[in-house]
Amino acid sequence: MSESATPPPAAPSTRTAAASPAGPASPAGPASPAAPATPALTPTEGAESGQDQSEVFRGVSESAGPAGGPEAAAGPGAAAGSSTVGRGTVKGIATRSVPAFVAGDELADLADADLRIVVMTADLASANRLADFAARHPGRFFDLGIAEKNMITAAAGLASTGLIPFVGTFASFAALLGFEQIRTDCAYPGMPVRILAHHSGMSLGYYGTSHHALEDLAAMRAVADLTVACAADGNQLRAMLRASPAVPGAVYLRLGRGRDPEVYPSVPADFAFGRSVRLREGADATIIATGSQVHPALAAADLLAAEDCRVRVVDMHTIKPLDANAVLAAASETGCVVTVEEHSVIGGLGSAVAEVLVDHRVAVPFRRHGIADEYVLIGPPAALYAHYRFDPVGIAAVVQETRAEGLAAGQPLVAERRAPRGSAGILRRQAFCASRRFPASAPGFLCRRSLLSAPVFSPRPCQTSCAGARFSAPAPGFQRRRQASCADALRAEARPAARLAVTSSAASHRS
Amino acid sequence: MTRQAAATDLGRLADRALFIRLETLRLARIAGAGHYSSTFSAAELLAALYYHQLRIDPARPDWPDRDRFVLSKGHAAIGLYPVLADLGYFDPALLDGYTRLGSPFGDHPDMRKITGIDFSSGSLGHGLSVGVGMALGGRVQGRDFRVYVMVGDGELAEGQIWEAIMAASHFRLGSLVCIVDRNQLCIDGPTEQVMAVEPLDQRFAAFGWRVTRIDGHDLGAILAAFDDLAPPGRGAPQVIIADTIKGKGVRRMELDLNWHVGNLGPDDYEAVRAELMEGSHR
Repeated sequence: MSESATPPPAAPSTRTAAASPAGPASPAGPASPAAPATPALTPTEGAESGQDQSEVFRGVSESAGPAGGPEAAAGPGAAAGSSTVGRGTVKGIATRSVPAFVAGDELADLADADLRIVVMTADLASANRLADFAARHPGRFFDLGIAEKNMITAAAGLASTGLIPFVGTFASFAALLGFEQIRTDCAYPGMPVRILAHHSGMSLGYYGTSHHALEDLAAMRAVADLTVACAADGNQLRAMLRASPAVPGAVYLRLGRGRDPEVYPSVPADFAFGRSVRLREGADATIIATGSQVHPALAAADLLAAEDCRVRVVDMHTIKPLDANAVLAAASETGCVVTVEEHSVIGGLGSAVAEVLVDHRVAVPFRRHGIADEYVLIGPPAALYAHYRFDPVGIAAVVQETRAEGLAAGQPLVAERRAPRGSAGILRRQAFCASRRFPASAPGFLCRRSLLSAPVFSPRPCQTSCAGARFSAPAPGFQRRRQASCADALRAEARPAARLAVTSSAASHRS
Repeated sequence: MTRQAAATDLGRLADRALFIRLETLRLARIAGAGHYSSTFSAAELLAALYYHQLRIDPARPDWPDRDRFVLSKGHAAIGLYPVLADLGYFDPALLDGYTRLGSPFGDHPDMRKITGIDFSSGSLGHGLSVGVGMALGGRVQGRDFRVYVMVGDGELAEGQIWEAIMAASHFRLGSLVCIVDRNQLCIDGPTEQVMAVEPLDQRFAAFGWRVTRIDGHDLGAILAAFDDLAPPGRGAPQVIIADTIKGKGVRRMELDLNWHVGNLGPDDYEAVRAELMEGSHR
């Protein structure tokens, strides 16, 4: 693991993480709490390379340690599936890392009050910690063995009797092996099955392509009547689970590796599927990230801020329905959009955002950052993340490259970002118009210009420096106001002469 | 049931089996083609289920304690729709638009569009898994309904079927009843040539199922098999292997590969209709 992969602020070294006394009492095989935390590996093999994947089949029910990130808990000692001792804390450690496999725990809480909730898995109850649910509601937990297709379809059958099944397995098997079962048996009949697709992306590292899910968003996004969302951390996952019973039809929840670092310091109370979260404000570019990439995107924004580049960071947790207004606002207000996802560049978040931009004829410097159309190398997760530039340094570089490409192509970015809106803002827009290859009145320009001049929206400042309040929650009515401003501006600019295929409102694009 | 009452019941069921076949002819003519032979093999089974066995109330299609029926071989839906209409789940006149643009009634049943369909089907190999889930759902909620799943024999080549067969005995789903329409043919030929499924009774038994094998066109045998079912609850899942003849009732269709999907011309339509009517009086 490279140093650059560690999210700022400077986290304790992974060796420290490896020395975490996170109670290594795995249900599968209890270990002595006094077991030497330092793994019997050289630093190069263990901490420095982020080699460990030993937790995969034991699960991570508690914080892996303070370092956070996929590179956290680089040594086996740190990862040894600790027992559930509470939420979000590990004895003796002030942790910033939120264990992400909270579904079993959270669902057990929900199931106390909601008798409709049942949970199923396919021989991975320890790996995904759904065993925590089984311990409290054994009569409503079913392990179907290594038979994912049967599990997903049986969940649909359960749902047809009035229950709400949550089904957990590796994303590769849920979405790719079980694709038809999700489409035909869950989404098409409108069954409220919730797929918990964990270890998504390439988070299973050197297990290789058979265990990677870099195509699942593309596949799931094409399924009608299916809500598709990615959890950035354990707290957001809890919010998703709490919100999910009210969602009609089937839901695909994409989870990470179970040791995802904290993005949300507490369970976001205002979470809503389909409504993105602006975590960081900035006027020079926007990173639209989802799932595992939200945290490094924030860290990348920190790095870029040090270079005097202020980047907006949007957590696009719901891939479908996509928050199109947030995309259009990002384009119009920051002039540069980079999507970041642990997924193929084909068909996932990047494609969804690109579709919104093209559908609205918005042309801004844009990059889909993801895995190219290829199978990834063998390697431990942290090394893979660094190699494929999913670490903060890599993401920051992609943003700078995208901005540079835009400049080279005659697409000037918003250079006078510090100038207050007003005369300088007008000058900026004029300069922007003059340098475009097509005049400001051309169809492709309408959206962006109109949104730039929309007077209603005024982004709230973000509290980037406060660890306890990493993001600024939108004020009540914030979202509605923002949507209205975009839609109104679009309508105002949709002149008859322009061959602009603007939909009746931007909101209607959310499908 | 007295012997006379039983005979009356059998006569009534035979009449409904004829009704299923005649309606299949009619609907296939509306669509221009249909799965005649796969429906004809299951006509007695469908009649016995819906007019005798299932604990259902068409006035309360969402009754939580009703028995469930999953037509895993969804291509026989053309024979199921008329039954549902006949029982009052929906207006029979709706069937006049069978398969037309916007109709609720396609070749395979859609539970979101058709009252009385307990689960959508069409992709073979899924239905028994649905049944496993329904049976588990009944257990979770403490309900004593049974779940009947009708599968085709060719469908047994699907791997997911055997996942469900394993799961059903593992969870001791005594409320789950699988009915195999063992009509001997799949599309490319006899199952035993395309992908052998026999010895079917031994295979189910080896997976922990309670097996009954009957003549699937003998209504008395079908009812006897139903009567012999163990009460729902924890126990071995039960399978009724119904040996049938694909295309049963129409000589030119019986065990003829060409009639998996077919279309009758006007003259043939009347001839086949007459043959069915005549056969019902034999």
